[in-house]
Amino acid sequence: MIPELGTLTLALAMITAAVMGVIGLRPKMLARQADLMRALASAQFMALTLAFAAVLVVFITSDFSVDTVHKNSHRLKPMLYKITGAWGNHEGSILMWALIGAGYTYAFSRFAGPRMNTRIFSTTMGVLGLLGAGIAAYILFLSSPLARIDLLPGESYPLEGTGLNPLLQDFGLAIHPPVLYFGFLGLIIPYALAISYLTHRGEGKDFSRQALPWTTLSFAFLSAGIMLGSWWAYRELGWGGWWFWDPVENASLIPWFLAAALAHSLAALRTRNVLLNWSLFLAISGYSASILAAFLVRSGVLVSVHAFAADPKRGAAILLYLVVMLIGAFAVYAFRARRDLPPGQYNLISREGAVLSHNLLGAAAALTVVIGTLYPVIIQALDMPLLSVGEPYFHASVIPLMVLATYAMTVGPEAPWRGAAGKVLWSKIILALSVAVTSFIASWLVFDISFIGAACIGGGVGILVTHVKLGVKARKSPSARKLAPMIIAHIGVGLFAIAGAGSIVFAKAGDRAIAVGESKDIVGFNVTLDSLTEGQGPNYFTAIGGVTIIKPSGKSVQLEPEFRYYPVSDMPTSEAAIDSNLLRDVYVTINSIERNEGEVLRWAVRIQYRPFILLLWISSAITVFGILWAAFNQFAALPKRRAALAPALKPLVQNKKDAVKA
Amino acid sequence: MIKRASSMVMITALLCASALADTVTLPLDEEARAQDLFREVRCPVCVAQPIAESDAQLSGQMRDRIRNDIVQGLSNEEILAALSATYGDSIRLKPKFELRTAPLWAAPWFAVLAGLFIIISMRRRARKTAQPDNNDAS
Repeated sequence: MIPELGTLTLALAMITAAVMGVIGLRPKMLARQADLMRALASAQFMALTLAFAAVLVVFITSDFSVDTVHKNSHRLKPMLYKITGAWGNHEGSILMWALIGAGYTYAFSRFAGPRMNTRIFSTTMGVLGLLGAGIAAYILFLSSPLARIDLLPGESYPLEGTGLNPLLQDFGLAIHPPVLYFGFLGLIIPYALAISYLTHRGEGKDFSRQALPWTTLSFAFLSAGIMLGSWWAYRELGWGGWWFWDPVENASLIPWFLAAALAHSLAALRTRNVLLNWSLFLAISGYSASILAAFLVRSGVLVSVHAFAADPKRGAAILLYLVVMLIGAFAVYAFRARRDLPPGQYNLISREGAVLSHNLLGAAAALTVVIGTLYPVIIQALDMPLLSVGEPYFHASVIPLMVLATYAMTVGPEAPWRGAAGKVLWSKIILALSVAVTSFIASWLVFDISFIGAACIGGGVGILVTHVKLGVKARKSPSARKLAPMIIAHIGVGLFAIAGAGSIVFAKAGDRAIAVGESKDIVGFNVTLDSLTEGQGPNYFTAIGGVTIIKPSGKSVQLEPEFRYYPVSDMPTSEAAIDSNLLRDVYVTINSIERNEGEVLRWAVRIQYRPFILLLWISSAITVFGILWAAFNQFAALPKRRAALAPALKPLVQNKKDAVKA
Repeated sequence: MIKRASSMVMITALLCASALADTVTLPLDEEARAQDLFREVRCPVCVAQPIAESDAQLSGQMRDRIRNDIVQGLSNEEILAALSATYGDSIRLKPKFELRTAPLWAAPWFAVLAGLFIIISMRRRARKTAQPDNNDAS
């Protein structure tokens, strides 16, 4: 009964969204059009909430007559993971995607609707309606999480589920995908706004004010979601790294780069009325990249640790959705972009120039990640000899761009909007750069580390110095509140650059075979395997090692790394034991064994020395906090009254006057 | 009885996980070079994992092979070429620069240069349109 009701509400959601799309995009407006849009958005959101609730119920009650539950759940699973399992699979996660999209649509209609030009609002809602209807139709017809198993005559529904990937039985899964999806879906609003402003040739500054808060919010969620995933991988995969350039990680990085670029170009648009077309282009690309990410994760074209989510047939449908979205949006862009406006006038040595260089690097990084991730697939499609693209490629291509961006961030805040004439600005810029370059060269020479690692550390130090200086100076000025979120977020980035580079260039790792009672030296640590206890968890077998590590300082620490085996899914996993402090982590795993006729001889103990890992999580949290605060300020600064529809020619005349004056 | 069954399952699981490798010991700086190489070589039997992190038996053997090659005095490129010859080019996580990988390696710099070109040409145009006697903005 519950699955059927849920399917019904899904159908309702699809219909309301389609109606919203059609009415919103009709050139002729109805009386009370805005109210109608709002009502439809509420209805769509409510219907999807009910559908999602139905999925939660069938997972919690272990209703194995439902195909998705049967394939992804098990009665033995702890309750928390039964609930999180509702989105730990393809069907459930796409429904969550649709639900969060509808949530944003609803929030946008409530929050921005009354403060916007009705025509622009209505077209935006129309675009959101079409996007929502497409996703709902996909769920309903191709990927329903509520479909019952097709029974042959005489068959009955299964009494037990077929389990869940043990890697997914972690608290990380409870929060990582929802947070990430809040990031992906947040970009749906700037996308729809861009199409609407292009269609009506709305005013650029107005577009930036409306699009900025949603972009920034989504940027914060993307950053948080990506780092939660990274934190999960670090603790759960047992490999010791925090970023693997796995195709699916890359997929989430693409919209992140674009959201970062868009948030900054919109700020330039708002303040200086420059980069309008570029911002519109980025806004369209941003949500397209989110859908591309969904396609990459869900289609199975990529080989990845996230392969549990793959299904090629549905991938084709998502690809079609993406293509329609791209063609539609870029067609509107091609025909309606403001080529009639004179290009923006700005000095390159200025805040605008810094934003532009940051945007250029961000867009290039996004493009590189797309190409690097898809290249093996393209090569395969062209029938050329297979190749792989992994971490070393991205370290050589994307990281240099990101490192250059840290230098842009070192300089950027020193330059005011519009730039400033003369020697004062140049001496500020040269001072900021020389701090960064000096720390770069010093760390390169002193620590004997890789060139690019040292460059990254230098850029991080540069960012820190510039922004701490800026913070101290702005502390008592009236603009302190306005500047604080940016300063905090950037300080987080500076710390992250240092921690991230340090965690890689100063890392050490080694493994040795150790018998119980034996001691060996691994990367400077004296490691003793005191004991080994075999046992059984709720749905796995386990071996827990008692390991004593004597650090070079002479202090010792007891750790208990664990090796698990999940019989239902036939998967071994390593649960790392980590000794963590602000300076470094010692990461211990036991993961393989030497046996002789059933008798355990030796265990492989792997020790990884990883500096600054804790600082990495802390700096990410600082950045996310800063971005969230900025988003809050931007929501508060949304215009209070409905702006008049900007006539198409007026801005042209005004801008020309501006241009002449400048 | 249950206890015995469980330890039987355990044994099969662990045998799948691997037998021990990493038997060759190198001096510290050469081991660091070996570890860098491990990050550039994909484990042939795993899913998108370098041999540096893989628990598979084959990865352990490959790590030892690389360490042995280092002891033999082979250069990094010689070591990688030998591995490619055995396991195919897809073993390299950092594709060698050649004709079919040229677009891949050119992509980031092409993007930056194209962006710079667009910015410069836009600024040219902006400077032109800023002159009051020029009305052609397209």
